[in-house]
Amino acid sequence: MNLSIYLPVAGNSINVVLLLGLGGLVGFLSGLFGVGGGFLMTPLLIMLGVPPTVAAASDSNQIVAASASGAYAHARAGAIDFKMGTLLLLGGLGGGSVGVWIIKWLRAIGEADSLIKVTYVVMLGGIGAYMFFESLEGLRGKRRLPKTDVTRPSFLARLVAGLPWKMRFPRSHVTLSALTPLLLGALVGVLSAVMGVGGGFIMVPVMVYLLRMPMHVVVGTSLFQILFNCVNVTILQAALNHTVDFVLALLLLVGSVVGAQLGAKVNTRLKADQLKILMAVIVLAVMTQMLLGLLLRPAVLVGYTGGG
Amino acid sequence: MPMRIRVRPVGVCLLAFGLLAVTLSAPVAQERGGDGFRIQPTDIEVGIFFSGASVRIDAPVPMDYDIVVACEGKARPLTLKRRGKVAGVLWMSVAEITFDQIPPLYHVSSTRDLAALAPAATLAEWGFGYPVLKARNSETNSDTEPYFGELVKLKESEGLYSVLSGEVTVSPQSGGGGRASVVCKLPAKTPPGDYVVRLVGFRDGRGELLGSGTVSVREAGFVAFITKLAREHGLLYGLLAVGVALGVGLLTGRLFGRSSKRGH
Repeated sequence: MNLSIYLPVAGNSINVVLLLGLGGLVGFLSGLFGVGGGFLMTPLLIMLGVPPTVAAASDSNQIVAASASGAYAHARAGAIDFKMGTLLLLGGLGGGSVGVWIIKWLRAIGEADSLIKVTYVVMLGGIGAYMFFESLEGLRGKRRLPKTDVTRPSFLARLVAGLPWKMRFPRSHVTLSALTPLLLGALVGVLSAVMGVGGGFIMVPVMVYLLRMPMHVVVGTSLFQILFNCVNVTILQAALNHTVDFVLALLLLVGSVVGAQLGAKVNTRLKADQLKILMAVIVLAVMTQMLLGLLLRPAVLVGYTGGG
Repeated sequence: MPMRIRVRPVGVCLLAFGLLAVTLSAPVAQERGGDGFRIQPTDIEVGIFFSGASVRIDAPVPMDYDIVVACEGKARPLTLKRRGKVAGVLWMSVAEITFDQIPPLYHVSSTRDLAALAPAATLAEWGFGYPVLKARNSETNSDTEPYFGELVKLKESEGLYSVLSGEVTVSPQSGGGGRASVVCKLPAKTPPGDYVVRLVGFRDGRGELLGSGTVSVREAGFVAFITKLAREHGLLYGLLAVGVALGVGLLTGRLFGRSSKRGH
């Protein structure tokens, strides 16, 4: 029985069950951790024979469905900080545009691929290791309590405290300058444009560790800003590069919307540290796979242009 | 009393659609070149369930000939990324390299090893074998020479290139002579286009064209519609893709929300 389906823009035929399963797995992670899953899905699609540019663009399209489904579930549970999400999104859109120009310039001088891969490994390694050890301490009950008697706050803390336009974010229980989420959103936007992903796996640690948002609000808020980022990217990729494969995206999203709902349900049953350590393990696994790809001699020393 | 037959419009439409589909999808055999030279099918439609195709080529041949069958696309430039070591440790894309004459599909099958059939110069005239392709590209860009083998590895891994000896079989015919046949496999990745098929007989180091024809690979139906929409109306296509994704996402969110409420 032929279970393969032809993907018109990718120009290849792939097993339907495999695509539905892949969509389901990544959707589950999306609902569970509040990440888009692009950092995981795109390399897997390339391994299945989808051209890199089509894999990245179609992945953005399916993330729209997964994040809409997940964000809807979190919004009903009151777990989205819309105020914080909007500021992060605005910063992210600005930063993303800057990132696109940076990558264009790097491509012109022929250094884009190297920078993308090294950035991936460094970012994933740093974030994954930090999250892993921090959560491990939390699970063992050894986490050091924040010092309340510090007489001289750190330079970063003083810098953040000194920023104007203070704002209360009641859902996240924090008071911050509006510039903080705008600037952090922009920083993540630059990185996600350079790395060619939605940026959820960077945004989640930023919200947890830098914005000090509670974990249950982090996931929904991250999905909220990923949704709008991916709508933007999908339309731009379809209009400018013609690399969105709708058939591929449709199959992935059917799997992913179901997976996202299951992920959102599991999310409410796990402790914050359990969630973080699971996320850290996945991030470190992807980082290891990418690092091996950089260190081991590839089977073929040439490849098609247009992707990682 | 005349018998009344109820004809359902939907049934008629389905029957008509079925007949049309059978007529359109029926493989067409082509005879060109020598008498009895056949390519089947000659027209391949890339529909939503396309997963590659097998093309059977056969022709009557003298029994004392060695046979080579080639199926190839029109050569065009191809730019690839070249991977190399950076800082002595990391394998990365280090440069781009352009091959000037690369056919998108190149399948050559023969009764025996090509080198045993004719001198290299004769094989070059016919364009048979990887060394011939390599030399053509090196003529215009000598930088490609060290990487031609890697290009072949890449194309072979996708099923787009092959050079196989012993694949063509010649079976004796009752009226004398033989019938050569081979099956050429086109993978799902075969780009739409026209592919030239040649069947050449070799004797005493010289070749003779015994038959030639064309295989057309064309996108059809939903695949053709999506490809055209994506290429010619990118913005509309993007908006539709996002609209469907949002619709499916929100609908699923709503459905799951309701079911979870019922569950509690």
